[in-house]
Amino acid sequence: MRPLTNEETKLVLTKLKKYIGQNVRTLLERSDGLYCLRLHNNRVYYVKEEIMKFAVSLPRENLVSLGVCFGKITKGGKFMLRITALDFLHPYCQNKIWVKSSSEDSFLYGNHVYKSGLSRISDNTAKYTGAIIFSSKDIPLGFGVTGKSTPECRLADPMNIICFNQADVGEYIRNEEGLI
Amino acid sequence: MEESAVDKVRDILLKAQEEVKAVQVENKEIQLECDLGNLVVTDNNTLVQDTLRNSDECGEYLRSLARDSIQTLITKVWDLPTERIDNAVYVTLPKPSISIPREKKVPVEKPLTKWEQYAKDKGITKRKKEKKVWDEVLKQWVPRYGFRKVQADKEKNWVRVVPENADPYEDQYAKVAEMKKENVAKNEFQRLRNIARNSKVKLPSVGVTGNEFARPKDLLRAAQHAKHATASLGKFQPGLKGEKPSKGRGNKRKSEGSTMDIQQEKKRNIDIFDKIGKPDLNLDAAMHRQVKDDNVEHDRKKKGGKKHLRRSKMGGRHLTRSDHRSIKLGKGIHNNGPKGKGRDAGPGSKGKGKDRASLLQLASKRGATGKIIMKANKRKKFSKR
Repeated sequence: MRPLTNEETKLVLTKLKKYIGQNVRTLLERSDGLYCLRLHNNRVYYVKEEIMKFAVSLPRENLVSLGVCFGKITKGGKFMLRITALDFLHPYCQNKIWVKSSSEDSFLYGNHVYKSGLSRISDNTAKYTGAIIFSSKDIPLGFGVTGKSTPECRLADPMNIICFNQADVGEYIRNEEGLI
Repeated sequence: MEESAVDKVRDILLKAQEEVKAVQVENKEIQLECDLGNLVVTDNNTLVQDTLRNSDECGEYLRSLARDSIQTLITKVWDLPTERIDNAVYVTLPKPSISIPREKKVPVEKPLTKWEQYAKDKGITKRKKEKKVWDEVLKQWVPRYGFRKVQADKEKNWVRVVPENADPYEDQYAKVAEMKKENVAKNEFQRLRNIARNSKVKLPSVGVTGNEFARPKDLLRAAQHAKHATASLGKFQPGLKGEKPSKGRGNKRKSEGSTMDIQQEKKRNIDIFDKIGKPDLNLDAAMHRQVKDDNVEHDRKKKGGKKHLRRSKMGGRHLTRSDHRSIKLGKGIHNNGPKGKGRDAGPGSKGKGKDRASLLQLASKRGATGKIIMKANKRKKFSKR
């Protein structure tokens, strides 16, 4: 476990900025205590300071996880957000996509969001930015990258992809062992 | 008669009693501990202090204690199964129960050489070779190495074939001798390297290995070092076709401890976040560049003419009049202060450099600051990276 380097921090924050914009500051500066980003086993964790200090005393190989895993830095040097970060993304997100109750299941099995399953989309959503996907009852289901901007959505065919699936809560069952 | 018989019986009884007494040990509070393997007996009972202090009784007392202990030990030894070989009684002692610390430290295992380590990992076992081999040419048994090997070699190789594509005047014997020398040297080198490796001495990574035995990895590293060893640290060194950029040079980044100042870390993270998506601009460099460009432009107009500045054969930019003057005055950049010659050249002219504030002032006077940003965006030269 170690703090991120400047390059790694930039990588992680750039990705987060795509989803929650300037609200990244809120994650970094919190009123309820000090939080920090830590790297362990190539995974980036968002940890409260006290918990991090407890974890320091553990040997590296015995430490499985700490705080909340935000994602993983791949060997190719990319940062991939994990579904576990959803709880911290959805309150601050700027672009929201609501899916119809009929296509909720399809999304939760890891499929993209098609125009046919789209119920609502927030205004001014740009193309190829991060968006959080909600169910019709406003429960966050996952997040993805938009394939169409809001005006383009109106004209899109039913089978056009509106949002590319990046992570969904179905992973908690599908990919249980991969989440740690 | 009867009396004498009774006396005899009493004597015998007394003798028998004494005999029994001789091997008997009275019971003690704590039983004696015997380690038959080491033939050691331990008496854990407390000594009677009064008797010990009394110099008359002390010796006798200790002797009796020793006798009791030894007697117990001997009795126990006799209890063990005995066997009689050649009229001598033998006892096999059990394993010792007291472990005695060794006098010298445990011998360290000899560190493996690189080959031994490799063989161990691969599971290669040493095969025993015969000392002598049958030589078909000489029709006799010839030692594989050592005594009389050289003699046999001389007899066998009394003539040497010159290979077809070799130089006919080359001494083949010398060549073989040379090869042999090289081999010996290589072995010696490897031996020393093993010693160095096992005693954890740091060896120079480049320049030791001869090209003959260098591995591709070593050669590559040597090439990288050579390429890097220029005045510009290899920045302008042309690369070969398909050459990969060198990896693993330079210092390793030292990671801060996990528990560094969190407040500071937070501040750093926010700084990084604020810079995301903004051009990485080195304002100072851009400023200097702009001011210099402006000066050159100004001079050129004054001179009245040339559109392109002549470049000198030495490679630098042609020096303008202002440059000459600034060199004379011992200044860096020409400034366009109040007119007039001599030392009172202008504001902030004293000293070699200028502070940034006066530079900014100067630049803004010429309306240059707007240009700076534009130019900086255009030219990546200014960026820090």
